Amino acid sequence: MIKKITAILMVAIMILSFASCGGAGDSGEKAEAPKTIDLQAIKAEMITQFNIDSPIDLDNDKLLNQYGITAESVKSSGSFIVLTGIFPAEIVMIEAVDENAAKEIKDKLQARLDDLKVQSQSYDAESYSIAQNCSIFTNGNYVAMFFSEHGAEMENLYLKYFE
Amino acid sequence: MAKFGLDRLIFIAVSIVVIALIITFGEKNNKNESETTTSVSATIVTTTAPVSSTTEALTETEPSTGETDTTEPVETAPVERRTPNVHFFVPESPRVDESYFDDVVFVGDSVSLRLTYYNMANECFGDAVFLTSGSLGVTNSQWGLYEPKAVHPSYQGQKVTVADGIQKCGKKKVYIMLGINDMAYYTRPDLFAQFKSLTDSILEKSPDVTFYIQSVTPMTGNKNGTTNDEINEYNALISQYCCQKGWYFVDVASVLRDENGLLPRKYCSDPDGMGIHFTDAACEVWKEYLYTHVPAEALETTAPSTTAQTTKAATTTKSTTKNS
Repeated sequence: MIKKITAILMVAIMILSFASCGGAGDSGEKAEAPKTIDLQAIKAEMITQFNIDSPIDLDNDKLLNQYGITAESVKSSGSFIVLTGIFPAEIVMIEAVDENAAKEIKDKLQARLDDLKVQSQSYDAESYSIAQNCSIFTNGNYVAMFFSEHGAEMENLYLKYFE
Repeated sequence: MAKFGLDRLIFIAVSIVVIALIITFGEKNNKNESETTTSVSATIVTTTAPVSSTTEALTETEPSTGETDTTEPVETAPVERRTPNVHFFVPESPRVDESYFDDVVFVGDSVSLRLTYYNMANECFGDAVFLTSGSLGVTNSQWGLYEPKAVHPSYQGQKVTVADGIQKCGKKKVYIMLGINDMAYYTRPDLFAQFKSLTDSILEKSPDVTFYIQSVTPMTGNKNGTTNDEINEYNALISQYCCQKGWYFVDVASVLRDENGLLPRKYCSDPDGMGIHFTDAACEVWKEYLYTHVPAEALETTAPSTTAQTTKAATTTKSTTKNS
């Protein structure tokens, strides 16, 4: 009898475990679904955390003039520059409208980064070093570049929003 | 048999539970690891530097001398000190409004690059386009678009030669300040020849533009393989050429030099470095000079009531062909 009860309990536990696993699977699927990230919130946190004075907002016109990124390809943005040194810090965080737009934006930012490397190489060692350590981040439709002396810290802050 | 079956069932059940628990916790750990891995591996495009370098680059550093000193008071009425041997220039005029710059394209190097960002912050030049790039010079601006080490500017994110950029943007007033990056490598006659070649190439593609050649601004000292005397000689040469061609010479340098002919340190963002780049205060002076030094012909289209005249007649015969 005891064995029967034990068996029933074990089966019950097993069923609950499977149910639990099933639940975990669901949440996992949800986690893989595209997140909506508030890029303005990240921007605000960066400005506070790094004591950024007088950031210049990169609106649609400026994104076009600076990077060739068109307003049609941008769903949301938290991009800005900060005037420091010869080359300003360029913080670009963009949610593209779709996958193709994200790829296009990534290519344009990469071109800009390559340009910064060539321009700074001969006379601005600090900016050249920053450019060499800088990368273009893509995460789904989100594309980002942190050309800044705080680049890696900004990357970490940015990526936390995707966890 | 029944007993054996029950024991076996219990054993299997317990095993399944244990396996399920292992899988559950294992997945959680793996999920965390994979998320971290994805966050890094899926996103890095160009990182080449080792981690230690990255860390070093992030270290908080004291503000360099290249930082913009925004606390300095802006000199609203700087003293004008004419560039030596420059006798043809756009004199002071009534102040134009921002719309004057709607038809302007600025061409320049890292000095003008600062004006680009100054404008981005202050939106003071209307719809002006900036074809500016660090290390740009009279010579390398005529290189092929994809030559190694070419530093052509970008127009709306697309790399262009200066001549192509001016043609693409369609602006008719072309303000150029170039030359400082060439001086260490070319003699004055060679550089002057390159300057003529550049303006010719621009006119070839955009024959209806008007040139506003800005004087190259001084350095805080003799640096970067060149001297302020050489800058002055170059300025004199191109001002004479402007006179010959009926173009305008805008002597911006006249308000950005001190009594010793040097760029004042308060206007320089890197006085102990290259000694040529500007602070916001210098950009403010520069901007005001451009607003108040517009030729009469251009004023007529933007401010009909003004009567300022350009002093075109003062062509000098004094030699300005001294070589470096």
